Amino acid sequence: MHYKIFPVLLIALLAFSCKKKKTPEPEAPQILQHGMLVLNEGLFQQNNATLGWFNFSDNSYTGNFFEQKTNRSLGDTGNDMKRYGGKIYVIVNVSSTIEILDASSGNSISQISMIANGTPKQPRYITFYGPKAYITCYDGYVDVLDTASLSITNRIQVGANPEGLAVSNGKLFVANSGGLNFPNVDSTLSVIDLGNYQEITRITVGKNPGSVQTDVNGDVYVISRGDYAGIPSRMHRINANTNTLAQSFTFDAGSISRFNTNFLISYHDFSSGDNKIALFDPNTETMLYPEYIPTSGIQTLYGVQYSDITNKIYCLDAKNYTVTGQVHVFSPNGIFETSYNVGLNPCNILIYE
Amino acid sequence: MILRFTIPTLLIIASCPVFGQEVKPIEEVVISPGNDRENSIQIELSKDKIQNKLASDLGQILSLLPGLQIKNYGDVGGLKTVSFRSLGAGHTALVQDYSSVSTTQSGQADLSSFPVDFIERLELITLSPTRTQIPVHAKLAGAVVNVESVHSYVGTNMRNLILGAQAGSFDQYEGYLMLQKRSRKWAGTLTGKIRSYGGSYPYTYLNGNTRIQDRRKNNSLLEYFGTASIQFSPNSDHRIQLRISGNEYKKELAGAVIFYNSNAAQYLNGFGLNGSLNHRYSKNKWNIFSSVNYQKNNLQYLDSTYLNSLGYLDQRFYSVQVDFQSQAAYSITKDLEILIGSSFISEELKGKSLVGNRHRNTSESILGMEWKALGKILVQLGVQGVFEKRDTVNQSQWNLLPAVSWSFDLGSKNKIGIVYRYTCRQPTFSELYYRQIGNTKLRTEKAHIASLRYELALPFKKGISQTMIQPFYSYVYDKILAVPTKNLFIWSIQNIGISDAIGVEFTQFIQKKIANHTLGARINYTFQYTRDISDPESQTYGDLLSYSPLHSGSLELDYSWKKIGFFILTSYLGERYAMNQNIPVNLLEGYVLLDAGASYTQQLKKSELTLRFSVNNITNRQYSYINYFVMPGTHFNIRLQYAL
Repeated sequence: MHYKIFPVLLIALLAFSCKKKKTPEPEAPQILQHGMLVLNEGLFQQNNATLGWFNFSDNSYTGNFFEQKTNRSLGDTGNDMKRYGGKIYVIVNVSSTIEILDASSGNSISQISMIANGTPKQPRYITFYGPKAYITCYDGYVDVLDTASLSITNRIQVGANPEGLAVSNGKLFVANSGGLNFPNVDSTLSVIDLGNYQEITRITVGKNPGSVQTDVNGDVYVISRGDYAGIPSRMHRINANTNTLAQSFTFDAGSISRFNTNFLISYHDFSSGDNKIALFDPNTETMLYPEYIPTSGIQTLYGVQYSDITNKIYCLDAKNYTVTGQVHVFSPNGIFETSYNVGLNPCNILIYE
Repeated sequence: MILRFTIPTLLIIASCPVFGQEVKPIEEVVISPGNDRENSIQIELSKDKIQNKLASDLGQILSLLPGLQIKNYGDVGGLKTVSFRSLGAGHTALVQDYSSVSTTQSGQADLSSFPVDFIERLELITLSPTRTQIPVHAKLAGAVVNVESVHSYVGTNMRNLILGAQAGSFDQYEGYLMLQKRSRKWAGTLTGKIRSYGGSYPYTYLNGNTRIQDRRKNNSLLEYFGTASIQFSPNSDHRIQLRISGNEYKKELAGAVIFYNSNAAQYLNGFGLNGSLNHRYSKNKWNIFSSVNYQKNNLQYLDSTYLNSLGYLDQRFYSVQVDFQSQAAYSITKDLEILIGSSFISEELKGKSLVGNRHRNTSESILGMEWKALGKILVQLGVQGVFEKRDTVNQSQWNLLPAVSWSFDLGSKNKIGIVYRYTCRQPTFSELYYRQIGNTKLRTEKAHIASLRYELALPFKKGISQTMIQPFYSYVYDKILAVPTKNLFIWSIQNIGISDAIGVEFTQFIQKKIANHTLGARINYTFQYTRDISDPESQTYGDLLSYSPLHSGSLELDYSWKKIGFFILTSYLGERYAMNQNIPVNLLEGYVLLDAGASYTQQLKKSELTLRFSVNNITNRQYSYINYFVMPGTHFNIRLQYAL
C-alpha cells in the first residue's frame, strides 16, 4: 500500500532539520593584551550575559571568553565592569553576583553571591575608593566590598533602587532612581560620608537619577532620566563641598563618560531613535559641540567610553536589543574608523595595551 | 526594570473550566470533511484518546493536532498557549460549550486552566460557516479550538455518576466528580474537580560547560473547578440550556531558571466565573442558535521579592466580558444552506497598573453559505465593527473578513480542497493600556491564510487508513510586537512586524481489527518555515521567528484487547531559536519524548471501573520548550474511575 511511504517521508524530513553546527569560538588568550574585554548585558531571563574578548591583532572575537575561563556562564543581565588594581569586577544584576577576575589573565578569582536572606540584592554599578569597592544594590543599599578579602563588610542604606555612583571629596554620591516605584520614582542623590558610612544628606536633582560622574575639579554630575515622556532627561552639577545642587543644564543627556578633562555626553531618544554624543567642558560648564561624534551608523547608542591607552572613543551599539551589537571606534577628533561585531547589548568595555 | 517582572503576568489570564467524560477502549481520529454530515473543515480527537493520556490540561492534548503549536512554560499549571500555523495565539479562538472563552486581558487563553476530564469532543476547525453553535466571534478568527463537554448538547455520555481520583509524581493529586440526571425533557449535570501539585521535580541544565542538578522550587498549584448545567427540551424542536461554572486557583510561579539565583517568589491567584444561557431551535430546514454569556476573571500577581518601596509587588486585574449572539441557518435546498448571524461583545478590564479607558464594544455579523456544487463550496463573509475610546477620542473601525473554501472528490477515496481566509486580531487591553508598555496607537494585526488539503481514505478488511496532507501559507502584517523603546527593561508595544510562514501538515491514521484486537497508529507531522520579513535592513530579516521549529510531530501506537488498552506516544519538537536572530548561541536543541500508558476497564453490572496508568518522558529527557523553563523528567500518573 502506497501510504507506507509516509513514515519514510517523515523520517527523511526530520533528517533535514535546521541544525546549524556551532562553530568553535577562537581560543581565549592566556594573557590579556592588545584587545578589549566586552561585557554584553544579554536579555532578562535568558542567562545570556557574556564577557567577550576582541583581539585587535586579528580582529577575532571570542564571545565565550568567560565560559572558556570558568567552564560556566556569566549569568543573567551583566550591568557593569571595572578594573581596579589587579582585578576586574563584573556586576551581574539578575543573577545577583559579582564576578572577580584576574586582570591580566581573566581567570576567575571569586564569585560573590549578592543574595541576602533569600532576597536577591540585584547589584547594578560599582566604583572604588581606597581598599574598598562600593556597589549599588537595587534593594536600597550600597554594599561595601573589601577588595583584599573580597567580602562584604558593610551595607549602607540609601534611597530606592540606586543606580550610578561616584566618589568625590571623601564622599560617595549615589543616584536613587526609585525605578521600581514608577511612576512615583525617586529624585534624589544620596551623599555618604565614607569615613563613617553614614548618609549625610539627600540632594534633590530631578526625576529618576541614573548616571553619576565626577570631573577633575571634584564636581559631581548626575543625569535625571525623567519619565521617558513629558519630563526630559537632563544633567545636573553638584557642588561636592557644599552638597548642593549647583546647576541644571537644558540639553538632552543620557549618560556621562570622561574624555580627558572633558565629558562625552551621550543620549538616545527612545521615541525618535536619534542618537547624540556631545562634547562638554566641565571646567567652563559649556557645551563645546552638541554633536561631536557622527551617529548615523549607530542604531541604539548604549554607551560611550574613551580609552587613553588607544586614544580612541568607543561607542556601544545595542541595535534593536535582541540581536548582537557592535562597538564603533572613533578617533579622538570624532572621525569614524571601524566597527567590531560583539555580543548582545554591549554595555561596557575594558581596553588592553 | 519594572516590566521584566510583570510581562509574564500579562501573558496569563484566569479562565474557566472544561468538563465531561466517559470511557471507551478504542481510540480513533476522525478527519472531516470526508463526512457529508459535517459542514466544516475540522480535525477531531476522540474523548477516549484524550482520557487515556491522563493529560494535565488541554495544552498537552492540543499538541497532538497538526498545525497547532503549543508554547509551554511549565508542567502542571504552567502557562500554555496555542497558535495555529505561526499566526500567534491571538488568532486562535477557544470555544467551550458554545461560548468563546474570554481573552480580554492578554488576548490568549491559558490552556493550563482547562482540564480534560469531562471532554466529549475536541475539534480544530479552520472554517465552519454554517455551524450555528460556533460563536460568530470565533468563526472570524484564524482557527477555532472547539471543546464540548458533558454539559454540551453532544450528550453521548449516558452515565449518572462518574467518580475518579488520580495520583502522580511530584505530589500531584486530583479528584473529580460528575453527576447527571436525564429525563425526556430535562437534563441536569454537575461536575467538579480539585487538583493539587507540589511541583518539586528534579532537573538538570547546562551552565556553560557545567551540568547543574537542581530541584524545582516555588512551583505548587491548588485549583478548583465546578460547573452546573440544566437543559430543558419542551419538545424536539427547542432546547434551552443554562450553564454556570467557576474556578479558583493559587499558583506559585517558578519562572525561568536564573543562573546563581533560585530565589523567585512570584504567585498567581485568581478565580473565574462564567454564566451562559443558550437556546437552540431546530426544525425542518431551520437551525437557530442564540446565546448570552457573562464571563468574569479576577487575577492577582504577587512578587514578594520585588525591590520597590513596599517590598513586594501586588497587581490585580479584573476583567468582565458580556456577549450575546444569534445565528440562523436555513437549508434552501438539499445542496444549499445559508447562515446569517450577529453578535455583540462588551469587554472591560480594570486594574491599578492600567491607564486609559479599558472598555471595548465589538459588533460582528456573518453571512455563511455551504453549496454542494462542483464538490463543496464554503463561503463566509464577516463584518467586524470595533468601538472604543482611546486617548479620550471615540474610535470606530470596520473590518471585512472573508473566507472561502472549495473541496471536491477525486474518485471515491480522494478528496482535495483549498481554503483562503483573511482574519485579524485586535490589540489586547494589556497591549493598549498596561502602564509604560501600553500603546494606544496600535492598529489591528492582520493575516492572510491559504491552504490546500488532500485526503485519502482507504478502507480495507476490518480496517481503515486515512491520510491528510495540507500545504499552507500565511502572511501576518502590522504584527504587534514588544520592543524596547524607553530602555532595555521598559518595552513598548508596536505594530512593526511582518512575518510569513510556509509549511505542510501531514496526518496518517491506520486502524485494524483482528478478532478482539484493535491496532491503531497515527502520525502527525508539521513542517513550517516562519520568517521574519519585517525590515530588509535588519539582521534578522529572513530568519526564523523565535520558538518556531521547522519540524514537529508525533507518532502514536494504540492497542486494545477486550478490557485492556495500551498506547505509546513519541513526540518530537525540532530545533528552534530562543530569539529571532538565527545564530548558534540562540539555537535550542530539539527533543524526542516517549510516553506510554495502559488502561483496564471492568464492567460491574450497570457500572464500570476503569484503571489508567501512564508514564511520561520515559527516557528522562531533560528539556524545555521555552528556554530555561525546565520541564520534568520521568513521571507517573495513575487514575481510578468509577462510572454508573
